[in-house]
Amino acid sequence: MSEVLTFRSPCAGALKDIGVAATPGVSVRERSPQIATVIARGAIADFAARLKASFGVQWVEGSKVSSGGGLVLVATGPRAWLALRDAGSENLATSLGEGLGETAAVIEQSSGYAVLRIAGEKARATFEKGLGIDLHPRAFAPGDAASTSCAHLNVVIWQVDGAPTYDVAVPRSFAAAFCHWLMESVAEFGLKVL
Amino acid sequence: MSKPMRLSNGGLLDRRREITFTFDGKPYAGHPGDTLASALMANGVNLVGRSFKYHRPRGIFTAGPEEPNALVTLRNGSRREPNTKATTVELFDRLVATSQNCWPSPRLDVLSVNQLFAPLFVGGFYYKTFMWPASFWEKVYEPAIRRAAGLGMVSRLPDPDHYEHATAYCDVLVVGSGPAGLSAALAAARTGARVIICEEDFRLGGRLLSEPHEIDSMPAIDWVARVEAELTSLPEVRIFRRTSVFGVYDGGTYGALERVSDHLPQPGLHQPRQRLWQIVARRTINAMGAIERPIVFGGNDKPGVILASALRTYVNRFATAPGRKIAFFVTSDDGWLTAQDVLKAGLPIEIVVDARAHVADALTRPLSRAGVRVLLDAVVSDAHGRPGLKHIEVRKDDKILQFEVDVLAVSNGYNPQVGLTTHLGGKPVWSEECGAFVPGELPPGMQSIGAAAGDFALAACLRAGMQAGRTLASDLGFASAPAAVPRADDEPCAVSPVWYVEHRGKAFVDQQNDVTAKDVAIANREGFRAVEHLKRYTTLGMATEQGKTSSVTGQALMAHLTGRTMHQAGTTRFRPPHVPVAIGAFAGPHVGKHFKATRYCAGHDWALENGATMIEAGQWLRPRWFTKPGETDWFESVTREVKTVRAAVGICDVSSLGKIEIHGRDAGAFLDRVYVNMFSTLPVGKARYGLMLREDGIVLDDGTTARLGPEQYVMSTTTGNAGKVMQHLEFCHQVLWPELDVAMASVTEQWTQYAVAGPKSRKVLETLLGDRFDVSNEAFPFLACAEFFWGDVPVRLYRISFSGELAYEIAVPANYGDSLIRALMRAGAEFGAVPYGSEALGVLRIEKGHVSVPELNGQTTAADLGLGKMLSKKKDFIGRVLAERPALTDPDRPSLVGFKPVDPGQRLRSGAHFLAIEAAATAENDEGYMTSVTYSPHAGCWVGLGLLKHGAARIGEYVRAYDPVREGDVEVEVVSPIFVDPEGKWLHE
Repeated sequence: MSEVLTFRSPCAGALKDIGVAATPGVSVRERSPQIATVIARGAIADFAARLKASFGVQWVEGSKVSSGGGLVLVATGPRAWLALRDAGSENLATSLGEGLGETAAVIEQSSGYAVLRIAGEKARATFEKGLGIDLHPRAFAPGDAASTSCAHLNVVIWQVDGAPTYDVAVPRSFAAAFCHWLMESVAEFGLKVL
Repeated sequence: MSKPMRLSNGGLLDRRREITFTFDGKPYAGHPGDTLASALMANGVNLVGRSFKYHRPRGIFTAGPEEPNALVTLRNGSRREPNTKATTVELFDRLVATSQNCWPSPRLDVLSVNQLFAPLFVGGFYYKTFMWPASFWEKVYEPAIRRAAGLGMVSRLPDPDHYEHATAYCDVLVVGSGPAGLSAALAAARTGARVIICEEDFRLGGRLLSEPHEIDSMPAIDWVARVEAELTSLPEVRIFRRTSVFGVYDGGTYGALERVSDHLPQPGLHQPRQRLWQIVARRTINAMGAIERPIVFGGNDKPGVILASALRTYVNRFATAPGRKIAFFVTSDDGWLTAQDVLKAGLPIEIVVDARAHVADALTRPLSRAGVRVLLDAVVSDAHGRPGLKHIEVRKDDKILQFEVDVLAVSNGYNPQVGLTTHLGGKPVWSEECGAFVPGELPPGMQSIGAAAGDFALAACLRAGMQAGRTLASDLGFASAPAAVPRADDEPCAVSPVWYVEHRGKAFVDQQNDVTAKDVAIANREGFRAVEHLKRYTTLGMATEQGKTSSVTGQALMAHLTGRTMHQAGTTRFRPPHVPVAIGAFAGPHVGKHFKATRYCAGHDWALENGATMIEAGQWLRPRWFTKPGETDWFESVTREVKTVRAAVGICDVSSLGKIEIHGRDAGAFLDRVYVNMFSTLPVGKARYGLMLREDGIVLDDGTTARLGPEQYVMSTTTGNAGKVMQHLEFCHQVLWPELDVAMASVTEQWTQYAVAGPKSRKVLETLLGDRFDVSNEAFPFLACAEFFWGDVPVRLYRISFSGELAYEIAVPANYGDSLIRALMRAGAEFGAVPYGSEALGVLRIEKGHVSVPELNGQTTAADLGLGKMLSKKKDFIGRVLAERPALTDPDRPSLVGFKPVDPGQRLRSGAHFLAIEAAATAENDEGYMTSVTYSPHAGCWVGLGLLKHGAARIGEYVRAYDPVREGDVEVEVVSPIFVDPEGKWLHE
């Protein structure tokens, strides 16, 4: 048989434009990056050195994003990260496994999360209705990350730029619930699905 | 429309626009800027409802959220909202309100006969009157009381509105926007600090909206506008209007309710009705102001008796008054200021009575000069009139004088709003200087200023605000140059409160709960003298008003009766919420099926397209069975699914089972410690059934764990225990054995997994996979596992079986899960493959004697489940030591066996208890219970699994399965728990 498995994103059909298209307060785009869980096995310094040597990524301590060359590592715990890279020919988990060697365990999660890029003037006002953390620029800046909850759903959120633009990773089975929260909360500001 | 009691000019109203509303079905008109109370008053409606207990006629007593009397039912249909304070309802077009607690109307109310029985309804009457016979309480008294008591009626319809939750952060939270709050907000905001101002009203300004002061040589209202404009221009300032801060919580967190749409006929598109805010503030300025106190005299609840400050608000802000023959009964300078305002508005004043012997000339002169009669060292003892006020009795030098009036404004000093300051345990302290309770120990980060701190004069409020705003911001590192304090006069605000006047009629302390001075005396006589006892015994200070006008007065009466000072008597603490908050606001958006998020499998849509009926498994939705065209009930569908699996092949979504990937050099050693059996010896490419105990020796969970690589295992758990097992493993690693080189992550979300079960399952997989992977028995025997690629897509394949059939489980990343099930069904079509749901899964596993959730119930040991031999003797593992406790190794413990009805036509019930055939149905004779039952198409009758004393030794015996709950009493035969393929040949075929 010549069956081919086809891709279906976690948020397929769950997001729709709301309000006047010309002036949406928020835009959303479902990203479909490759994702892996990375957990340091030994000394963090060894991990950081391999990360720098193999991928050119400077590791940043704390609840932060370390990135470089299209690879992004979002801290999710003291020794754990969510690694993301846009889909390409090379398998992320494989290349991370090879590049990091003994210093980290790498676990494939490309289907484990829905990743949404949420941006716009009203992005913060929208997140206010779900997140318990402070996204004010004085408290949360590009490069900052948080593993927290949004309307009782576990999320990992990190800021991409000052637009402001945020990326949010939601466990896949909760994607519909997150989209429901987003649509409900953003409605008064208008939403453009990119 | 004519508004007989509207003053011809003045007021903060938009007189160009008229809005119409109805009260008790009668149409009226008001203006934007009105509240329902002010609009009713302007229309001459002063009788608004009846009181809670005695059904006495009541009017409008205040102009704010402290209102005890003017409670109405707002709106109708599903938006009906009982017990709404007319004084806080912003008038909107087509508003509909009705009076409550009266029938047929407030003027003619049948239940006002309650007044005749008033002696029965005194303090504590619940506890005394309805005591005997005790059996009457539930059946007679309580239902009768419930019918008669309570205020208003809920709609009983689903709430049509949406509510939001939101969180905001700030450096300085300012509660209240009167002179103190506004100047504090301004001073803090000018430093660049993040400031949030919460104002309950729809306009900023607090008392400046009601009092004709001058600030910086301009009318106060213009000063407010100027400050508001500056605050609005500052980027880090947020102004929340129509927002009540109702609670103080740990860590500088405040609860606030924003009434987003309550001033509209209905919420606008995409707008919530209300928004519940959690405000996290580093510092808080409490500038909530103060509430004027009533005086206790006879008939002090008559419509027409009103707080003087409220009258001032109605006259100055709303250009109305409840009558045209106005009297004052005051003990404070502030009352005189109100009288001056009333005079300026051109309203006639009959008399001003002050209980004090000496009052400054500056206060009395403008009134006496205008011909107003002034009586000092005198009191109002009784108010009369039905339903509204007609005349008052004034006692002066033991003489009683009568005055015909329709309004009596009372002023007895102010109570600072201390409510929020007590939420974390602070206790207000009595200040002789202020004649009031002022905040005691404050919640961390809070400062009370202005009238809320007992600092009543205007210039003092402005000064305190500027100073507090600047100081608190500077504490947080936001500095600014000192700014000039706005210039204003300190008005006189002396007071000598009079708590109680000798009287003849009924004198109310708490008008909302109909608590009288006599009730306080009864509480004293009966020993309920502590302020908290007084509150509970008399209901003083309960309900929506929470004692805002009444508590301190009641406490003062008790202090007087018990010969204590106010300081000794003390006052009650408050709990959130400071103002009533609709339950809908607390629920927020998490209602109905959004109460808890639903988790969807990747194959959900496909299942629905194919006739699935879903069932909740934790938060997951799983197919329960698939209805084929023509099938009429679930039993038919499930039986067909089971038969097809046994005869051909079925496919079942098992994605919701927990999946945990475990990596590291010590992964095998780690598993050896958490499982009772060995995993370090498991070869790569193999899977093994594992059993996990809790520390106490009871079974925690079971599942299959596969070794995909030398340092890579994948564990599966039951759906319900996925989170618990992950937590357990993390605990074991992080706390017990951090030295092990182990890393783990849940991959439940990552993989969509389908079980393909039945004699033709291999054929389906051969068709699906072709030469991508060899699934023959030789290449891929029972308990084999492998990972390979299908194009770019990784596939994990396991030869494991829960059904007892030749079976596989195939997993792909969930983004390809929908595609996988469609491909599987296409591949299975020629072999008669059907999807099966959780019901058929249950039937299949019971037939095979596999334990599941009903057996892994937190009470069973491995031996109970017939799995005792799995406990390794070569290693230590969690639960090993405590599993050897005598009670857990007692040979009398019930253990797992199978059951069949002796009469094959009989149905079995899980939960039935086992008894010897002739034994009486008593607990002493109990021999265990049935855990799982099903109709077995294979056996042709009902079969069950259960835990029976000495079970394994009793195969072939008959016992009773006794089920008194469902009147079941079935004779059953004890059999092997494995009903199909006892030798397990099918698994290996």
